[in-house]
Amino acid sequence: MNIIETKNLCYSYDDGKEALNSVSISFEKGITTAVLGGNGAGKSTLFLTLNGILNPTSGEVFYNGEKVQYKKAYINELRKKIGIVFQNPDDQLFSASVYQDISFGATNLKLPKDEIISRVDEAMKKVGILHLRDKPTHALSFGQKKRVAVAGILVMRPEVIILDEPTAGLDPMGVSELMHLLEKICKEDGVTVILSTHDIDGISNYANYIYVMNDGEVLTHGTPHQVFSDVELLRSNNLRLPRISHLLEILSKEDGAEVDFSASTISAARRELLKLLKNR
Amino acid sequence: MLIDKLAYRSRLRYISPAVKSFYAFVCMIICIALDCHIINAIVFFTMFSLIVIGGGTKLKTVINIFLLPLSFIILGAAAVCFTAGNTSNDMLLSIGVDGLYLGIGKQSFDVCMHLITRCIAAVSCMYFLTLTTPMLALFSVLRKSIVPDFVVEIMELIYRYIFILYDISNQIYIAQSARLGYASIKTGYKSMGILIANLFARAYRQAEMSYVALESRGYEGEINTIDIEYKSSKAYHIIGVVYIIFIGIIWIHCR
Ligand SMILES: Nc1ncnc2c1ncn2[C@@H]1O[C@H](COP(=O)(O)OP(=O)(O)O)[C@@H](O)[C@H]1O
Ligand SMILES: [Mg+2]
Repeated sequence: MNIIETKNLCYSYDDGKEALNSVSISFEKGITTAVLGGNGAGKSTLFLTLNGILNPTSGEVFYNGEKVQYKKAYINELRKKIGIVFQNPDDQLFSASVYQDISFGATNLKLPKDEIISRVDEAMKKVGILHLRDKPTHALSFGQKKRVAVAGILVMRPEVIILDEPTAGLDPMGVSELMHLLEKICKEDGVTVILSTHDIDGISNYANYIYVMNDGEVLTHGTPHQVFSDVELLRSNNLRLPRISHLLEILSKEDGAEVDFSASTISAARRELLKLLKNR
Repeated sequence: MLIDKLAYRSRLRYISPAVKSFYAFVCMIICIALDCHIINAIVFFTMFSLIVIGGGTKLKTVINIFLLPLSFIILGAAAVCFTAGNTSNDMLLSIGVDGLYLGIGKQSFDVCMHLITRCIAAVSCMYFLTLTTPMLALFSVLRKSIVPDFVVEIMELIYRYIFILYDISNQIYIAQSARLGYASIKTGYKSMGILIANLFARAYRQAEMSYVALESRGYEGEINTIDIEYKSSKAYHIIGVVYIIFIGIIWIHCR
């Protein structure tokens, strides 16, 4: 089932720049979908239309099959179900207190105080920031701020969590920790995760489904395997294969090895290589 | 900002900010009202040792911070010292010109000394509060006080965004000086102008982004969060009351 769907979505900024051009995307419930695209592809713009911050020029958005109306009351309800983690945590963290910032979203849901407190504790535990509770926001590192931002969304218990370039600016350890966390949220809590990234090498590790965007349009979509099979399409649009697939591609094309180079994770590539070794 | 950092490292930061601010203010008012050297000295030493021994803030740092207002206090008080008169009888030091005497009067010297000890004692009370209590904790006290909530809200936002804008201005400054933007006075003025203009633009963008982010978390015109709870214990009140009684007794003996 698709939790969010867009049909022929278009958006132009005030300066006439067409950032989204007839984008039709379906986000399946309960899985992690990644939107892959270079800078300026329109990923952020797409996300902002999904929870009603930007009003599309034309086209429609559906939530759980129901057409989204861009009216205040409707959008407010929608925002309780769709949480967005912004790319720059400093845009999101408004409070000087970590604890108070995290509690903000839950307080806006008008929950009883006990419930808010327990949700804040739970969210902090989940993203591993209990020790930051009494710290001022400005004393945190970038990665820590990012976690606080995620916790601030989790307290609202959204059905969908959208993350705009969550891995940008994090160190390799930070990326893998964050992705584990998102996997946990997706699997254990059944939250639908939608994220944007330009991390071609890592994407297959955490995305169940990929949409590739370029210049405001959807280029292609499918499972990682499907997306990385069409090398020509990717190359002609300034994208590339993951490094590991590239290696397999070279082995296949230059050295005549029989490998499937759409294998885009370490473990898939390992399988291919083991197969190759056995067949020798 | 340095003071705020010190407050976060202080061991006394977890004590209820309401208790700390209450007794700091009471002590300050006592010092100002009673104007007694001994009490001023006692309060000063109590506050000083609370900061250094109780809070564990480095002695050298604390002395430096205390020296800061001391120069103002002494300069200001010195002005009170000097008097002019027809005789030099009630003067400690004087220069006479044509029967007019200019110098340090006995009485005004006394006033001056009182002024100095009173100021130092009062300042030490305020330093005790600021060096052991982070801003965040003070905000929570303000929220419970008579100050309107929206004022505290604005203060909190300003406090947060000072750091963001400070970071941004720092980045711009470094980027400029790396390309010799401050190599001469003339280019320095020009660069500073560009920095300020850019800072305005960035602040505007920041405000827009923050608003969008707030909205997507259900902001509807009011910033509501959970207040941080601090441990307040009867023991602190007992210590505080005993201390004030102790000061009272000393005052009776001094008179
Ligand atoms: N506030 C804005 N005003 C005008 N144009 C914008 C604005 N934000 C983004 N754009 C333009 O829209 C296009 C898509 O941007 P964006 O959605 O931010 O891409 P991405 O997030 O994939 O990097 C870009 O060409 C960008 O220059
Ligand atoms: Mg973006």
